[in-house]
Amino acid sequence: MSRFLIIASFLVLSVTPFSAHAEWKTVLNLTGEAPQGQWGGSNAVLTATPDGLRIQAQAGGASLLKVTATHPIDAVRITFANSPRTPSTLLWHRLKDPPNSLFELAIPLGAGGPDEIVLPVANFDTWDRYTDVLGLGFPQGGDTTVSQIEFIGWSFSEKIWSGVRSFFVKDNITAYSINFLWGPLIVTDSLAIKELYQQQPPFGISVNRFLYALILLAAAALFVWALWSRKTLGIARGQKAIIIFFLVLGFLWIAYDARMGGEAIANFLQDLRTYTFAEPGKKQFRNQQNFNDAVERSLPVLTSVDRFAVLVPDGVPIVKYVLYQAYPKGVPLEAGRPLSEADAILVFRREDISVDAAGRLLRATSGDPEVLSASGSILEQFDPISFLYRKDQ
Amino acid sequence: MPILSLLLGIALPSFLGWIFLRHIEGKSIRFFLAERLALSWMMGLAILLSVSFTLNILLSVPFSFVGFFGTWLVLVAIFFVAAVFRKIHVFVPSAKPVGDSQRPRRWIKIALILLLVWTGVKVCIGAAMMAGTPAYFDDTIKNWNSRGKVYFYTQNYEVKLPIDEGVNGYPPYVPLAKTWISTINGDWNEGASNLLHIVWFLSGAVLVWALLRRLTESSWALFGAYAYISLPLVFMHGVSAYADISLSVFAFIAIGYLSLGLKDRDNAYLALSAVAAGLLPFIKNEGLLLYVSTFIAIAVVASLASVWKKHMTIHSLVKSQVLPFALSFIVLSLPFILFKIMNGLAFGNAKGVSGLELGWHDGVVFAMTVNMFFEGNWLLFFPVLLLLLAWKWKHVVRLPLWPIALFCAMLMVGQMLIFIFTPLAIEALRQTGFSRGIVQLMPLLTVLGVVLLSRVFHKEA
Repeated sequence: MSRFLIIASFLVLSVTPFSAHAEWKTVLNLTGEAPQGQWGGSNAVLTATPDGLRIQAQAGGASLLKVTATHPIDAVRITFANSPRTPSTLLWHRLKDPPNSLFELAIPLGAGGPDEIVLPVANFDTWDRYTDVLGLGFPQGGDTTVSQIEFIGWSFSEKIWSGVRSFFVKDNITAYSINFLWGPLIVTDSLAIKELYQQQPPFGISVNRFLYALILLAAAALFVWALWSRKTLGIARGQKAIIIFFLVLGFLWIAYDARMGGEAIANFLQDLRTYTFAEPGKKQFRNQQNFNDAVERSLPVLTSVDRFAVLVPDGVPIVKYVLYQAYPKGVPLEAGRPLSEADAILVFRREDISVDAAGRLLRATSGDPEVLSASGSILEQFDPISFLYRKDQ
Repeated sequence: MPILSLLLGIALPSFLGWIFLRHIEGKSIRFFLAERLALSWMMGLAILLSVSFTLNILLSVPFSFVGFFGTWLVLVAIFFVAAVFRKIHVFVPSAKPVGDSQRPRRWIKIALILLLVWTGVKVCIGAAMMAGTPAYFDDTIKNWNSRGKVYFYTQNYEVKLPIDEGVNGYPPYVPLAKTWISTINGDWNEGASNLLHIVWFLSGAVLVWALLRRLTESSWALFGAYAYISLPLVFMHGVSAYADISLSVFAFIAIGYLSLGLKDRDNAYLALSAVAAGLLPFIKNEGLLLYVSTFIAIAVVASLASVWKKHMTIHSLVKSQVLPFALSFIVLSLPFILFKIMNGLAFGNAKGVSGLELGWHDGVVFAMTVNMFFEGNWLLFFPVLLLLLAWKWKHVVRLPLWPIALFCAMLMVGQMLIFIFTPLAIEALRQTGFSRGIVQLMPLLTVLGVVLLSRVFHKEA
């Protein structure tokens, strides 16, 4: 027991210095008359405003910042005073590259209003933790106001801990889950953990690499042990080493199964909770959100009219689900026929389609709205941009 | 009630399959109880649905309760009368597995119990999800479930489909099974028809256990069943309404019992294998395009080798393999093949396979490598299997493993070459067709891996 306490104490004390500096942060406040940081760039005009640094860029313009953080940088958090409406990129320079050689990463666009973007840059192969120049690029030009930039870095022990935590982050069931499963992905910071599986393909390192390394390590250690036993002690332990090796494999297999099985169970229980046992009107099903609920609630109408139609966002393959559920009583409007011939229309997540006070179903255009149906009413509203419309008879 | 409909929908074809299996066994008893139930279900349902399909297209016998039940009744009567004629007892006790050479250690028993409980929890929650949630995956909606629903309401095998015309060339086994369950239920029931997939999945696991039980000790057999279900992408297919698991089980019966039949020089296993192989085109398109031809190649080589070594005569080869295969193929699969030809329906999944230009496609080898080794699909299966194949290669080239290994190798390498050198590369780059191909072979690959693993411990312990 005392030997155990000594070893445990040693282990705890040895990691204490590492854990003392878990996270580093440098914050640049860009609001007010004197935004922090040394800024430069090309084809961009920078103006200090109370809300932040306003960047008005031409197409291809960029504004660059000299990085003064005194710690390694693993993530960048940018707070926009207004959400960028044109594509923009994060630019950075690697110390080993020529001065004008920059890498870039697309920044996700926001829908409107203040927006905070977190970029777990350490998970990209080309990132340099000690970058000296960071910037924003505007391939199509733009007008953006940035109120704050944070540079965040983590210590080695924090990275290890984040790596362990990321192993347990689950992916959701999506359309590709019947063809492949990403499996556990290892990232090394807490911000990246929040972003895991949110983009396709996801960033992160497959845990399989670490498992293979462990397996090779175990194989090497057992080989050395068996060899040493034979040469030094004269004991044949080759057979035992092989058995131990496969027991290690078995343990890793079971641990991996526990992780993947846990992911499956968590997803299935979520399905049961958010859909099967949820109240109608509040059901959510995976990434389809309230679509299935909307269809279920619309079916009594869709299957009782002569013809129905479905309007969904372009390129989203969910219409066949409605046809499948409505079959055989529901008769869809034939392709090519005008929508005005449909007696009921299920509109799902179409912010360009609305019903006016006169009961007309309208589609917004660059000019006058297009009238899809002359008179009718909304029978059910599923969310602000989804509803069931019934033409007046 | 949907659950009762499901149970009845399983019991009736299983009874038919039970009598069929007794014909296969003849005077002696071979199958373990769980194995017999799994085989009865798989073979009985396939025979019932295939004959129902043929009667529908030839004589317009509807897919109604009267149509299905009448067909079932006639088939049961035919098989039963034939059994009486051949003096075969239908209701017999099942075979018992041979006892282990030594009792498994206590910690192994505890570990296996825990693993099987864990597996049971996963399967139960998966089943609850299948019964209680709507169709989600693309092929479930536009193909397997929608066709089952169409056949249920029209009571006819429709070529013109209201939801997606592009799937009318797919074999009818899976959709008709759903039609069958809903017919017993009296109304279309998506939950009950979805649960069929769990039954196919568990049947595959039971058959993996049964074959392993004959080749290894009880612990290894149970571990093999656990290992099969634990594979994440296999499990996902097991709890989803797709057709790859059902194809995998028939491919397993075809090759697994061929291997067993050759090893034990047992005509009953060979006959079962041949009948299952003849059914493959009725299950999924790959059954005809890839699996049957590969099976025939291996069976011919293996059987001729047996004849040459005087382990079997030409007469018994014809009786145990050629005739059963021919009968199964002609009666159970050929009607659908001819129906497709007469109606101009496609033979290839997704895209046609003829007239493709050959050329190297970048990224395919990388995509396949990532799929097999750097994603969560198969846990550590492929590295372990490759290690075992290299280490215990002497076992791989002998019976009973070589037909299994060769079958899987031919199909995997064949499909890899198709993906690398033809425009079907998209099926590998998107990890669609490539993954499904592996799912279809997994029961066989699991047996291969577990038997080799048991040889490591058997020698080293």
